[in-house]
Parts: sequence; structure tokens; C-alpha cells
Amino acid sequence: MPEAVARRRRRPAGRINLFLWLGATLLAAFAVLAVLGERVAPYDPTTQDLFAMLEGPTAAHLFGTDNVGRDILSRIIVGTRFTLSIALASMFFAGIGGIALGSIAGYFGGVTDRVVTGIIDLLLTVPNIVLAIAIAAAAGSSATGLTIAITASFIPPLARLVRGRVIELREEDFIAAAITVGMGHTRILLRHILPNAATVIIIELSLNAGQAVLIGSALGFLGLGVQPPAPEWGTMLGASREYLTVAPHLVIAPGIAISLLVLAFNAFGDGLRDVFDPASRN
Amino acid sequence: MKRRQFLTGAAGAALISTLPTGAIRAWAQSASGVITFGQSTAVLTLDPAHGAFTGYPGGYEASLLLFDRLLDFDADMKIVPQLAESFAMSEDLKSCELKLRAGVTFHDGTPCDAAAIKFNIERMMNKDINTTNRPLWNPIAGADIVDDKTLVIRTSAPFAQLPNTLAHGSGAIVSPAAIQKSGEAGFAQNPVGAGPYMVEAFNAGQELKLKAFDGYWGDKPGASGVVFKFIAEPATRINAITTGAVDVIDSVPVQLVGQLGGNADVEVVRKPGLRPIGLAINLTRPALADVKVRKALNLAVPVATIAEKVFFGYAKAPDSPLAFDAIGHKTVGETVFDQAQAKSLLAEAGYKAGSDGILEKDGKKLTLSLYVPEGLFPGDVAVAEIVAASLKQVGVDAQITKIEKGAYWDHLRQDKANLAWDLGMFGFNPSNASGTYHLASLFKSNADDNTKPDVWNIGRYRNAEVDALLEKADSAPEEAARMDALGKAQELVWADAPYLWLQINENVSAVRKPVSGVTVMPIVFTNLRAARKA
Repeated sequence: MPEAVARRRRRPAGRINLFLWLGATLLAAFAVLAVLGERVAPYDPTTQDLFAMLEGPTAAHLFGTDNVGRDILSRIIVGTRFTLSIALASMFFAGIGGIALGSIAGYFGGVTDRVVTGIIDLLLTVPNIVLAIAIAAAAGSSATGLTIAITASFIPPLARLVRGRVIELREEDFIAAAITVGMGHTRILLRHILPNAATVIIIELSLNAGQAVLIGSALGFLGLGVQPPAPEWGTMLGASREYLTVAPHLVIAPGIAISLLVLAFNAFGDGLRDVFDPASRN
Repeated sequence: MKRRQFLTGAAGAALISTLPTGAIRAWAQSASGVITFGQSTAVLTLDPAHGAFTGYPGGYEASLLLFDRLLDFDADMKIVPQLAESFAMSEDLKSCELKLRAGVTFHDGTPCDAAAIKFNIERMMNKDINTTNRPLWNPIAGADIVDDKTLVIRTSAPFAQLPNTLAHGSGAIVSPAAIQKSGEAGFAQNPVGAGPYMVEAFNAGQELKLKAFDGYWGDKPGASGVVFKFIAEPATRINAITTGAVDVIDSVPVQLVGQLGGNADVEVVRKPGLRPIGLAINLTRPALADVKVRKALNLAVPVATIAEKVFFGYAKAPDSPLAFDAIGHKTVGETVFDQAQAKSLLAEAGYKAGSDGILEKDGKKLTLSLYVPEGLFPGDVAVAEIVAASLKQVGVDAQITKIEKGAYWDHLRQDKANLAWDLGMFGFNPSNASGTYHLASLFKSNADDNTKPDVWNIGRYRNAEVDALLEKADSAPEEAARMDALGKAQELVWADAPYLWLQINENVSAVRKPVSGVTVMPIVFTNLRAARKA
């Protein structure tokens, strides 16, 4: 086995990083759009023109206009901020929650482990989109509601992953050494275990961010996104469904935006994995 | 086989070979004389009681063919005789004498006589059996058989809308023998009526097959059978009628009507509905208690443009609190779009623009919370967005809150302390077509404004004069006097502007040749009773 690992490590760095660079570049571009938003959008995203509704792409409106005559490109650009911040915020909170639960369960074991894993397993039996819908319906359609919903649906799988990694690590000799010299549990967890689990967590989170974008858009599509007239990609998709056969451009623009952002997160996550965790390739 | 038949058949076969496949399918269908109706809602139960013809409106549409009623609505919602040959309301509006048609039988062969009708009236009066449409049936006190051709229906109080109740879908006359046979619980799946068509096969939720009833008392049915087929997706319904798989479809979304325009075989049938959509104004808010503000809100929104653009002309701006075809409707005003006048009215009411352009008075901004459901009314969210943008142009800040449609009614019908909205989208569909019923449901003063509204006066409108006129519209002995009172009530309500009136949508259906005679009733229903297939 050592030979195999060594062979993998010798893989040329350039090819491995292609994904990472593609993802990072796309993400950076989306981040710029999210920050600048209204300042780079050609039109105000909420200004309507009932006499120019459902127009196909033209030079004036690159992606055409929607069912009340708003510029779709501007709505896509301004909508970036919402989708990106929901994805990042929910990954941040899911990270905190998942790490806390997973490491407590994995490190302390015994009854604690059984209780926490029991709860996690219970939540895992509910598909995360269903869980998200239930929470979003209860919390109402707002950015907070969506973030809570997506966060909650990602904590269980992440906690499971962290728990597995922590159980693996706590059997290592250096942990036994730390316990022997009388180090406290908190310190062992924070200084020795979590840093060693960090790569797997970061990779998982960046891959999950793409899923979070999809779930966020799906909830928006189902009517649980933002309050109108604020632009949000999933909501835009939902509103254009009725016009699919007469004005397909309404669906195409948000569809492309969602696909690109998901692709960006996935490529970034894959790239990260290739760089930090070559053993997990294949 | 006779020689002539053989020749016709051979000629037909030769003709078929030159036709495109779509035409063959259409031809094959027309030859059978069966009309297929692709419905947007499934037929689930077929009993006027126990929830009344679910799902709405699909069940009612089937009931129009399966059952006869004492009275009927014609295409313009006028009340005309059906099983009753004539009817007369008494002077005090507390009873109605009906002359019954002789020799009518149900599909099961039992006679539809005075005793059967008395059984039906008493069945619908029973609150345990008939759980829906209670406002229509509650006033009825009983039915008396005078002789085998005459029946008197009594009410406990003057009830001018009694004929509307009898003509309403829930006035369907069922066979008492069938109720006995199938039981109260089983009838909804094994319905027997006295209408022009009888059940051949019923697969609830999917398909209902009807065949012509040979013993029908009236004109011979125009087709040998009618099939009701549930097709949920609008695009699928449109494909089905384009290819000839179905002959009739309902609920064509206005943005898709254009797709049928180029098809010479398909005719679009349209009729303005009975449900005027508007934003109920919460009159318990001090800012909105001022009629000038309410008038300004109405002036600020381009309703005619919404009807023209958002609904592609398949909607109209209202001219009264009632829809055009409601019984007793009177033109009492017009919808004007004049933002300059709106601004001056708001200035008169004491509002001045703040630093951000939003109007304020005594340091309080004119910010309104606009509640809208998603998918409950045609184009609801888009219309709300246009309203909010238009109000912004005159300095009113309307914040939209989108509510999931299942939870929406609860948000609207709240006790006063829990009213979260200032403007709430609402539309009332008076299923018995009565303008008095409509106006009283929406604008009759609540007994207590602090608790939940009695019916649908959700904005807490209160005008003693309107109450008195509505009372008169319900109980004056002369019909002219009743209509006059209803007209005056419409004028007063319109002038008080307790709503931001929006559009009245049309019901749009489509019919494929050679089927004819399909009508769309103002109360949503696509009616195939008089449909023919040549």
C-alpha cells in the first residue's frame, strides 16, 4: 500500500488543479456579481414595463424581459447575491452544527454517541429536500427561513461524516499520548482531532454548497423563496413555468445561472479533494 | 352487408388513405358520436350532498349532464324552468309554488314525481347529509305536496334567492330509489339522476363515461355519449385538443390561448366570470379609514392595462363591485387610471413626500402590507407586483407578503387583533349568481368587528345605508324594488371604495370541430348539456 500512495502523490499537479481553477474562477465571478449587484446590472431589477413584457433576447435586453416586463439579465445578476449568500451561510452554520454534533458523538462515544447518532439517523431517514420544505413552510418564506431549512437538512450527513473521522482519529497514538499527558477533552478535540479532520470537512462542505444552491432554488421554485418583487433564481423559474411554451427564454436564463453556480461549487470541491486528499480519488 | 353500405365503406377507406393521421383520428372519433372532455379537475364524487360534486368545478360540470334540477340558469345566468314547468314566489317571499313536469323518470326507471322532489328538498335541508352550500339551503323550512303536479317550498324568513338555490348545482334531483339501494355513502359513486345522460362507467379521479339516456323527457341528447377525462397539465390539455384526442378542454391559461389561434379546427369559447378580483382594504387601519386614500389607491393602478397585458385581453376592468353577469349587476362607475389625481387626493388627505419619496403624515410612513396567495387567483403574484410598483409611483410603499395558498384564507379571515394585512387579494364567486348574495357576503356589516367576520367582510366595511338596502334587496316583494335597492347598494359601495378593484377574469375553454353547442357559464363551468357531435 505505501507504494500505491506514493504513486498517486507523484501525479502531475497541473491536471489536478484544472477543476480547482475552473471552480474558483467561476465562484470568483459570481462573488463579484453578488457584491456589485445593482451597480453592474443594466437595469433596475424591479422596474416594470407592461408594454415590453415577455420579449425575447434583444440588444437592449440580452436575456429578454419577464411576465411584467422586467429585464431578466438584471434580475439574474442581482439574484446572485441572494443565492450565493444563502448557500454560504447555510454551509457555515451546517459546518458548525455538524462538527459539534459529530465530534461530540465520535469522541465521547458510549451513551452520548448512541443518543446523537440516533437523532441523526432519524433525521437522515427524511430526504433533505422534504425536511427543507417542512422547515421552510414553518419558518415562512424569507432568507432566514431558507437558511435554516438548508442548514438543518445538511447537518445530519455532515455530523455522520465528522463522527466517522473523529472515531478513526481518536484511536491514533498521538491522541493516546495527549490523553496520557493529561490534556483536557476540549483541547484534544480542538488542537489535535479537528485540524486532522479539517480537509474532509472542507471538501464535503464545498461539495454540499452546490447541493445547497439546488435546494434553495427548488424551494424558491415551490414558492418558498423570497418575497416578491425581489429577484431569486428558483422563484424566477417557478414564475416562468406557465410561459414555458410561449416564452422559453424566461426559463433558460435562471436555468443557466443555477447550473453554472452548482457546477462551480462542484468543480471547486472536486479540485480541493484532488489536491488535499489524493487517496480518495476514484 | 348491403351494397350501399359496402360502397360507402369502400369510398371512406379510399378517402382515409389520402388523409393525414390527425384527420383520421378526428374522423374516427366523430363517427362514434362520443364527445370527450379533457377537464382540468377530476370528477371525484357525484352527489349534491356530502360535499357536493367534488372536485370543483369538474364534478359540477358532470352533474349538469347527469342530473336535472327544478330550475336552471341559461347562458346569461337568467333563471329558467327545467323539471318545474313554472314557478311563482309568494307575495311575502316565504314560499315558492312549483308546477312539476309530468311523466319524468330517473335513469333507473323510477318516477321523478312530487314525492321524489320532496324527498330531495328534505335531504338537502338535513345538515348532517348536506354539509356544504349551507347558506343556500339554511333558509328552507320544508316542502309540501299540494297535488301530484304541484309542490310548495317554504322558507323560515323572506328569501328572494330561493329560485337561485333551486337552480344551483346543489339543487340536482337524485333518485330516492338509488339512495335506498346504494345508501347515503355509496350514492356518490353510483349516481342516478333524471338528466339527459346516464352513467356508463365511473372511475373516480380519472374518467367518467356517460351515455345518452333514451327516456329523457326533453330534447334528445346531442351525442351518444360524453367522456370526462382528467388532464391536469394545461399544456397537455392543449396538445390533446390539437391532436384531436379530446373534443373539449377547459381552463385554457390565457398565455397559451395564442397557441390555439392558428388552428382552424379549434374554437375558443370565453365568458367573463362572476368573480371580481380585488384587494380588500383593511378599514381598521387609521390611514385606510380615509376614503380619499382609498380612492387614491384605486386611481394609482392601471387596471385596464393589467387586463390587456397580463391577461392578454381575457379580463376586464370592473364597473361595479359585482361582476357583469351577476344577477342585479348595475354599471355604477368606471376604473380610472390617473396617478396625478391620486397624488393630489393623497396630498388633500395630508400626506407629504418624505426624503425617500414615500409619503408620510405626522411622521408615519404610508407603508402597506399587501398579502397575496400564490396560484389561487389568475396571475396573482404578477398582479400584486404590478400593484406594488404602481403604488410606489404615487409614493405609497406596498410590501408584498406571499402566502402559501393552503394557509391563505386563514390569514384573510382573522379577528381584528390578528389582521396582519393592509391590502389582501380576494375574489368571491357567487355560485348561485345572485348579486345580493355576493354583496351581502362581502359588505354587510359584521355583527362584531372584533371577532372573525361573519362571512367575507374581511376589511370590516360598515355602512348602515348599505345594510338597509341589502335587507330590502333580499325581502322587498317586487322584483324591480329588489333590483333597485341592489343597484343603489352597488353605487354606495363603489363610492366608499372598500376595495382596490382589480380585474374580472374570463373563463376560457376550447372546442374542436365538429362539436358545437358547448357554453362556458359565468360560474366557471364548461357546460356540455347542449353539446352536439355531428
